[in-house]
Amino acid sequence: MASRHALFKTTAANSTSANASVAEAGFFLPLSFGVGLVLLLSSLSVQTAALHGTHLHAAELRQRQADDALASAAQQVAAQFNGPYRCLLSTASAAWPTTGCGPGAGLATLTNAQLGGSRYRLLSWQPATGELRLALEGGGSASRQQGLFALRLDPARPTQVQGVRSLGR
Amino acid sequence: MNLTEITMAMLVFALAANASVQLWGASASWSRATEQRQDTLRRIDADLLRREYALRQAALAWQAEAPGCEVAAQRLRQQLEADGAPLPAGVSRQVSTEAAAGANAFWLVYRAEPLGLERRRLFSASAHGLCPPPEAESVPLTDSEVGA
Repeated sequence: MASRHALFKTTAANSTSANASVAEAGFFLPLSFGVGLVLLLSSLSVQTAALHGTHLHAAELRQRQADDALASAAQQVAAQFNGPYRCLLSTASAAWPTTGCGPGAGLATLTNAQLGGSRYRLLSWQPATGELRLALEGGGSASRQQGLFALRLDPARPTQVQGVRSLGR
Repeated sequence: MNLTEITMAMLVFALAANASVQLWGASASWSRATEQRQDTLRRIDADLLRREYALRQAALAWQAEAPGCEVAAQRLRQQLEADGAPLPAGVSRQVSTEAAAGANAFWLVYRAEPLGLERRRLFSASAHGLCPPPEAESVPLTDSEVGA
């Protein structure tokens, strides 16, 4: 009886030792795979965030450049209102004659013009509020850019613009 | 556990760690560059806004003085070229004449060559009411002309 018990113990001990050996044998490789995968995934995640930041910055720069182009266009339109298109200043753009300020003059250079590499379009002019709305034309996202500006008119002489201020988009 | 398994595990770990370090390095470098570009953009923006505000204030005084278009344009250019807060290293500021607008309008251009960044904005003496037109020409549209 005692010998049978000892044999059982020996067999059980051998079996446990074999299982542990099998477990240890397959431990390091999956662990290194797991740790490596975590490292790679975390660094890829950080890289994606960095790339996203770069794209955001590029979009911000494009937005500022579009704002610059619109502000420049507003300066040009205001200068034209003080120059060859003075007669249109007191009239809303919806009521402008196609001949502009005189026969043969037209509105093309006021309402659709090129300035410094970008093309803009005058969408509306409201003399009552002094609000001028412009849009940039061209490819990409710039085609959707619009800007609203307030032209300050001379109270003593409302046919003259005295300044331009951006009111946003 | 045997030598082959340990070697394989170490190899896999070393390769993953190396790739990870390189990706982290590249990400850190991009982040630094983006941060630098954003800082440059912010400082250019601040300089531009300061100049625009100063110009608007000066134009009010010039309008009262009515120095004439040519003198006003010269003053406008001087105002745009005036020294202000220092720009970040590598950023240049230039004022150039807009050919199509005669000598009354100027481009204020900011360039940061190493960062591939450029901003330009037009300022016109005429848009600030500094080039008054001859009175005879300032005739608004008549009712019959409106909507013609």
